[in-house]
Amino acid sequence: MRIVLTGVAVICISCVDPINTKVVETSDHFVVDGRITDGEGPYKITLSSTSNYSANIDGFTKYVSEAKVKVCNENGGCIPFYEITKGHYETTADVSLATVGHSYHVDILTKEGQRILSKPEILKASPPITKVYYEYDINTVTTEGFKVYLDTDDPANDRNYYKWETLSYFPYSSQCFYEIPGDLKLLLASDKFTNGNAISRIPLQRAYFNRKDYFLVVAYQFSLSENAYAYLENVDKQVTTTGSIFDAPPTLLRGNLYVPDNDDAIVLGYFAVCGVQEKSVLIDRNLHGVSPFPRSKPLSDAPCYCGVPCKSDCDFPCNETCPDSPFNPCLCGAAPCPPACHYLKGVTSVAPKDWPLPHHPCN
Amino acid sequence: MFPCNMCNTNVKLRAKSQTARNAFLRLSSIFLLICHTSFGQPATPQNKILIRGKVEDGGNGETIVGANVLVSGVGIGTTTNASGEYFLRLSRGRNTLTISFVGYQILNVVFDAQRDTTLLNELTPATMLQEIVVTGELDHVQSFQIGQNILNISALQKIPPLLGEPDIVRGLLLMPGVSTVGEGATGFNVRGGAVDQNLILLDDAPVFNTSHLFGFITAFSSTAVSSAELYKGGLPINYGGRVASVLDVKLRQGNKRNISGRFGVGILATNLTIEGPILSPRTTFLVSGRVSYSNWLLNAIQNPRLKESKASFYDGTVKVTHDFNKNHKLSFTSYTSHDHFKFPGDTTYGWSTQNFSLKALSTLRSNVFLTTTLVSSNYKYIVSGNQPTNEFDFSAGIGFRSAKIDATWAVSPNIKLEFGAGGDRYSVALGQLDPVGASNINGIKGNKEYANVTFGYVGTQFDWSDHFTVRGGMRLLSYQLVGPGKINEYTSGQPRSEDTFTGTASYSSDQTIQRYARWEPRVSMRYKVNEKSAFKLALDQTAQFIHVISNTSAVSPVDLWKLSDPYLKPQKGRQVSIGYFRSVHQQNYELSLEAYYKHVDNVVDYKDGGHLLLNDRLEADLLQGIARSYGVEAMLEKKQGKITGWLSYTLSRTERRIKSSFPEEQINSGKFYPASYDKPHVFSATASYQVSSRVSWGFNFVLYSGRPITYPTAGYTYQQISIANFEQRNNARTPAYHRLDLSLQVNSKSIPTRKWKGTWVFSLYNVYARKNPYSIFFRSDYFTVAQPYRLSVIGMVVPSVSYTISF
Repeated sequence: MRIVLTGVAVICISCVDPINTKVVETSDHFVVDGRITDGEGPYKITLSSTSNYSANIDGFTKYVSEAKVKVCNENGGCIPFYEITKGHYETTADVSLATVGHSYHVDILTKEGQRILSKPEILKASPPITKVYYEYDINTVTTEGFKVYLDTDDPANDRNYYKWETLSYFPYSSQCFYEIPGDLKLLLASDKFTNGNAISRIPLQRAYFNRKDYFLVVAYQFSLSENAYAYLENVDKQVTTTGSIFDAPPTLLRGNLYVPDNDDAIVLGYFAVCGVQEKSVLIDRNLHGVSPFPRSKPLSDAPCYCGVPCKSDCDFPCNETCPDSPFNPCLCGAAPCPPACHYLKGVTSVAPKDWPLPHHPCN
Repeated sequence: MFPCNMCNTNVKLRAKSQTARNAFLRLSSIFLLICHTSFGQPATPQNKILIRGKVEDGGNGETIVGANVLVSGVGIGTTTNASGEYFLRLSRGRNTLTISFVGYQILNVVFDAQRDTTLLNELTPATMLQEIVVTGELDHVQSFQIGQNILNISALQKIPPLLGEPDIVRGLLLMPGVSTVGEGATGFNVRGGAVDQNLILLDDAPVFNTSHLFGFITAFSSTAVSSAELYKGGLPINYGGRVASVLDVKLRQGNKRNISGRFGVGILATNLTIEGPILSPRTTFLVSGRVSYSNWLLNAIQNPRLKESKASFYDGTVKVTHDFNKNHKLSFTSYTSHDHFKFPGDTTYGWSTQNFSLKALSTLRSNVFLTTTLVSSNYKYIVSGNQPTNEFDFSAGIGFRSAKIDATWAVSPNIKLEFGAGGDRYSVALGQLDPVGASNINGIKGNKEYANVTFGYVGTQFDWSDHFTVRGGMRLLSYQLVGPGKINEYTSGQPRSEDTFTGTASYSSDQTIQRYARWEPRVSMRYKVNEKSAFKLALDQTAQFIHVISNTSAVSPVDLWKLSDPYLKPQKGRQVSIGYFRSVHQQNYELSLEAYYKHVDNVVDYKDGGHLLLNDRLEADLLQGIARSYGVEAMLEKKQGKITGWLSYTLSRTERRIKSSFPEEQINSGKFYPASYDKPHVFSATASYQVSSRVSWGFNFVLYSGRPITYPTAGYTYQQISIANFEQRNNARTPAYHRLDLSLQVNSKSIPTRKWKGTWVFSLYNVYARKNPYSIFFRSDYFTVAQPYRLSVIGMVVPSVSYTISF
């Protein structure tokens, strides 16, 4: 019987091994990553170019500076984007650019004179989010946390394509908040097979239960065009392929960007025009479970902050040091904000609007 | 009565008086010539007589279709028709016929006839003699056909099997010109053709899915099969419908003499075949079935991932034949196949086939033979999603009905006419979605497509001289896509897309949506230099109206089939092939060399990132272009002796070009690129060593070039996701594939009083456990740079054992 079992086991367990292989790198193209919405600005566009495939992780991206970037509507009205840091272009915060029913495209002129346009897309309103909710989830101590879900009601009128993103907030100090974007994993759906029905239990993210205080999840629901959805779906398939006989081989991911009068030129990325809706859920972690972490406790109002750069939480009594001391001292007294908050990546002094506690904004 | 001599003489004794060719033939020790009637007709004015013969299996009386019958020293010959009969016009007096068929010993029949004569020739299965095993293919020098592989079903049992199941497709993969994308892939590729370009006929009914367990096992058991002939080129005029090949599989008709059977137990499945006469030898039956017990095994394994998996299949055939009289015969075949497969997770797959065929064979006159065939094929599959709140069943399938009449008329000893006509009806379900339970999924009523194909053909074979034979013909087809149906419309002169979609036209059931007419000229010729060598040449053209719509690198049983419509043009294949065939060393060895060039118009491909399932604007994601394939195939076969087997080598290329004036409708900038099954070098060595009358070893080694895959040419980040940029399709290759398999076959002792015989087969697949790559893929999982991985479908040695009792 051992032989028999081995035989079947082999059929079912194929082998996947990481390997080293030589790749000939040839292409050099611009990459546009940006979107405008009917929500609040500022709107952001990044311009970069392809690089060595094995060094293309965020942080090694070859950003492209000094381009002239604007977004225009169908009537020729344009709003300029300004370069904030290398390759990152933004509108001013107060600009309200896009409205439902109008079409928009990006118009980029690089320093070398290369013009890049996107095919215009019409801004389609996003249906409202019905509900964002969480469920306490404890399978084992290490996975104790909360699963955050979203429900929405798909309108029956026509095809809708969705993308969901989240931002999470939890206290950094009494005056600053961590602002953490959700997973990079793309959360997408189409109503092709569910038109007019509820879309239930979209698993937005997981909130970890490592402290006893509030945790706010703000969910954003974007409406996508059919093309944008198809593009993102292909991105998702490509980065999660298993190389099996059921997987389509990887292909060029064609977005909606092009070089006028040059059909052979390839511009990667996508410029999306989206309607957006948001809804948040507040998790009061005091009300759940038994905290397994001894240092977890409600955030004290005692002014105290960690020195720069601070890598860990700073909700300790002032006479303690931060975990990474001496390079990361826990400093007593009022945190020097807003600079401290702004200085730290992922930390903000702006309280999220649904935050329940009294907050002491910096002046 | 008339004079008739029975001659049972070793041909070696006759070698000096007969032609030189006879000296090289070994006469089988058993043959039978029965002369039991005369036609009562006067001999022809040319002093010729008519020989009507029938070729049967000497063991069980089954008809042998497609056997070669040659008149020694004259250079004329023929093959047996669907009734196992042949007709020859010969000179009065002494004649010698050489009758051969793969898997049987060669039979020499020497007879002296003065009047029209009927012969019954019985061939002895080669396996009944230990020292002579005719393997592989029939005598290519004598056969007229080019581009043909005939699989010897008895030799198949000696090829080391995977999981204990002798398998027809695995046998074909050892022949030149036949390859596969990789282990686990459904189907096979012939001379650079896609998997859907093969027409697979099981007793005349097309089989749309040939696989169990996705691609590991062929969907019909070899135990019920009498012959499997693969036509790679020079397609006979009575075949059509696909542009790459026809695999014509015939089931056995059942033992005419007594009830017999066979019961086999392997590690994956068990099979049972029972056959015999019903009341009289004029009616026979054959029932054969196979069922897997892999589900039970998966449950028994202490691995939670496997416990959640399910894999099971069964298949079965029933064949009943009845001889009304000498001239009229009827046969009925039913074939069923079913699979159920579940991966750990949320999806289950099920697919099934139900085919019927009814065939009437009539000999109208001594030289006119008619076959009437009715077939019905049904293939359907269901993919069930079990994810909470989104439970669904997705189903699709094909219905095929066909009626046709084929006639052959031997106008004179050197001229044979073939003609026929028929009609096919296709109904293709493009996919329907049904919610299950309290699911959020809306049902989608599936689109259906209907088409009628009518066809007619006429062809002739002319034996110009003893050396030169030519065959030519024309096949005409009319294809009509008919309503009810809907066709999307787009702005003309622009690429089909969401943006250029203008609306949908509806057609009622009496309307023709699209019509295509095609003609298929075919010519082939053979020049026989002498009895040992021959040159052959063929040009043929074929059209294909049904296509698999799949953008994965391997076709699977749950891929969509689609009919040609106003956008999806029929595929057209044209091939020229030449061959040189030579037998050496008393026909113990045979060398075949063939070269071909094939051009296919309108091969189906897909836009980068196209979506195919339940896509109501599917044509906007499909592309069509051309494919070209060319290659040289060599095969050296040793047919007799303790060691038999063959070496096969194919050097070939297959490329595609998808060109358009719109960049998004091009692949690789409109340049030729290798097809995903392009394997320039394919080598195989297959041998069987008969140690004793009871013990034989099987050996099998294959070496293939890696298959084309797509490597990134750069990387970039989008929304902080690391993305590899794949710009050139199929710009790299996997490493080479090689594998060694071994098997040992042990037969039970032959005891005259015992009515059964047992056979053990022990085998090792992938002996040195090479992790042959199916694919190299790049995965970033969002968070890291795209890292290359190698996927090996079978990365270990796979042992198996099976036991078979024949009674």
